[in-house]
Amino acid sequence: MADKDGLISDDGDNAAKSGVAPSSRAARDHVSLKDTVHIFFDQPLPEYNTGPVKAYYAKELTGNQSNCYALVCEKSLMPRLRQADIYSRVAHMCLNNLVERGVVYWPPHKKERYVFVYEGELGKAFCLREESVALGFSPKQVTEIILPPIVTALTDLKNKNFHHGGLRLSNMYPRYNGQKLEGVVIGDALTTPYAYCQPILYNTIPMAMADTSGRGQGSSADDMYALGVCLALLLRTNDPLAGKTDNQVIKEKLLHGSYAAITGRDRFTGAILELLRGLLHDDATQRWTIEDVSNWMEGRRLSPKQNTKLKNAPRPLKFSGGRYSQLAPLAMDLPASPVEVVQLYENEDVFHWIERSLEDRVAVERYRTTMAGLGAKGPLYQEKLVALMSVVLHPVAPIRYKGLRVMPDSLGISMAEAVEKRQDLRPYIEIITLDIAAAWLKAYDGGDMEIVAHASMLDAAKQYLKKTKIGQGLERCIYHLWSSAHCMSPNLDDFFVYDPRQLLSALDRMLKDKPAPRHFIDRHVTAFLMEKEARLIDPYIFDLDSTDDYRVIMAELMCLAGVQARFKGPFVPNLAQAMAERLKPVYERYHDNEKREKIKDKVDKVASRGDLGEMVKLINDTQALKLDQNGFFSAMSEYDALQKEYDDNARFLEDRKKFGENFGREVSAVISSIVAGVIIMMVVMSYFSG
Amino acid sequence: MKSKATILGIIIAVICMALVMLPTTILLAVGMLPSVVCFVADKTKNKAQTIAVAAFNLAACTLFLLRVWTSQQGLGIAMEIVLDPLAIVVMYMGAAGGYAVDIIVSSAASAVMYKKTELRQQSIKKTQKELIERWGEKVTGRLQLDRSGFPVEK
Repeated sequence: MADKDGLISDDGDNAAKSGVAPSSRAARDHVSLKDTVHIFFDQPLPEYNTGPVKAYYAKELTGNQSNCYALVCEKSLMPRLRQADIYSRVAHMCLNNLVERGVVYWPPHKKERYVFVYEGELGKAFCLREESVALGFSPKQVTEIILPPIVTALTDLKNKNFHHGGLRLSNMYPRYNGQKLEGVVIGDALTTPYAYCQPILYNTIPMAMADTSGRGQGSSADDMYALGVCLALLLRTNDPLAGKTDNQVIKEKLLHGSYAAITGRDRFTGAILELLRGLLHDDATQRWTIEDVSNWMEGRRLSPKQNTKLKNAPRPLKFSGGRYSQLAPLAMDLPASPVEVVQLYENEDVFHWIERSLEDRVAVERYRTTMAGLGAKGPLYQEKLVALMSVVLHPVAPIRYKGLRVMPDSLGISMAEAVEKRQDLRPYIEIITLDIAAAWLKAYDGGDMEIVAHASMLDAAKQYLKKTKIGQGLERCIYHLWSSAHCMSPNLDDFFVYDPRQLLSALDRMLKDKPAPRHFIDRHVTAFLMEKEARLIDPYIFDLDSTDDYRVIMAELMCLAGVQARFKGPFVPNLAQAMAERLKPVYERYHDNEKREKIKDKVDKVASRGDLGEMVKLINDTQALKLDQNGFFSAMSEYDALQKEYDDNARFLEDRKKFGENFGREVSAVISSIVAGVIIMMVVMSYFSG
Repeated sequence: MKSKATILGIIIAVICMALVMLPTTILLAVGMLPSVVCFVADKTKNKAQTIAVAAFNLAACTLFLLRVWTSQQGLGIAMEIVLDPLAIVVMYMGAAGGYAVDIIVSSAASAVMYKKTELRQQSIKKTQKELIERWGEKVTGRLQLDRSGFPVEK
């Protein structure tokens, strides 16, 4: 990628908008994004890192040429590209201004990366590490200086249906005027999936139980919880959860409620108590909304409901050496001892415990409904049983299956991450095909209706998984469940293609360094296009799955030409030439070898320009094909007639003595008659002349 | 019935003519004997060999016919001629000449035809080769083709 001047070409959103690789360039120590920002890859800024996403110093080239920092996304972590559009339209002093974003060629990785460039130098966050944070701010500082701008910012975001997912003290940067605290700026929320970088403490109980990439799409209720945790950590003077593991923190929250678990010995009174209780309510439907907080700030006093205590069974259930009196903690520990879960189920111990000891009628009904879907014993019986039992016992918790902990609405993101990390995808497939996700959605009794809306998506995903044809299968399932996913084709491993308009340019650049793959439109590209711009590939799906080489090649060419036409370019000479080289089976659809050569010559010329549409026109000329076919059948007739003539002649030629005898005799008869006539004339004349 | 009557009529007419032109009939009956033999033996199409032989045979008889026709005593002259060995030799040599011409010309014509056909065969093969070069082996019709004219893969 480096050129003679040591400059490095890159790509970006310009590519997305124009379909052409942007002309932005970079020197040996930096890359250029859209010619508006320089990102210095030799100047890391670890204080702005967002989890695994690293930050680097950047400089804006336009305007006041201010200092910036760039967050270079990990390809496997699925940056929130769709939400970035919304975020960039929200201007708020409390939100870090997004200067630029796009794809760059990232020299340290020698691959393309998506980059978010944020404005300014934020200074230090409230804390660098989220361990034992108890900052002891005064309620006045929190409620009068820190909270108001955050609330207005979150209101703006909520109005645009944007859920932040990054509200934590290590991502909040206090602004000072001298020594005086003036406000706060919230950092990045776009570089990773929702709440990916949030420590367990900031997540609601169900989210905290999930894997980092399986925490769901998020909701404003989840943001409000994180805000509550931030405020509590700012206010509290001690950390009651210090030294506890993640599981212990979750269990503390389960047993005592989030408010009690987080605030511990700190005693808050009056208005601030209302605020914290309201925000840290474990029931999402009872949790304060941003409007509630605004009302509270205006002086209207609300009385948050007390956390509903988990039902305690007077007779605990013995499981795996422990004694459980509540459903949720038992659900948490089920996957650790699957064999015992089978015993509990087959002895009906759990059912009887729920029915008789807990006397939880809702759970009993849920048990009957959910476990009815278990089915007969089979190879995955034990794993499915554990997953369904977990759903029965704690229906808002993530799906627990074979070591995965994932919310149904983030199955797509998790699967995409697994693809990028080359992880086993079978557990995800089984979650869908064994109807575990469906059972979860059926049993769900949380307040997030957006999750329930995923039922139809999962139904479609299951149908895709049942089919193996191109455009269906696992790949389609992933892109269907996570429509913002970039194209994960192995051919595009070094590139970041998140929009169909970038596809051609990426394939073209890929061919500069690598040999052409067997198929440009592989299963990933097909599924990617089907979800992003179905009309570009839909007409060719049947042919792409054909066993005839020429159909597949032609379908690929026509599809790529369609992409080129749809986005008005770019011309892609490398790709066009690679396609031209594999067109032999297509040329062979012409019977006439001379015509083939002529078309090939023309196609090769057009291919050198990179015009795929013109290539299609030359090859897919139905009139010429018809003429060719007619010409072929005429040639066949001619050949046949010639063969018959040849055979006849050959038969006559076999007997050379007799060959032409009749004809010869007829000739001799004629000649003899003429000569004899002449002789007679001469005799008569000479006789009479004496 | 009608055809038989016609043939009978012609035979009667020829006999009448022969009686009227008896010297000529005698001369031709003897002089054209090789042609009659040839006619009987000739198995060629349209009796082409007989035509060749008869033409020369008749040409050889012409001189003697003129003598018969121009003399006052035709029958005597005719008898004199048919009894003259030299005249018989002359007339029969004419027939032999006809044989010779027939053999030479028919052999030459046959050879020319043979060569021409050989050249045609070469031309056919060349054209067929060109057709194969242009349209491929499938143009020979030896391959099983689909409706579009492409070989059916087994």
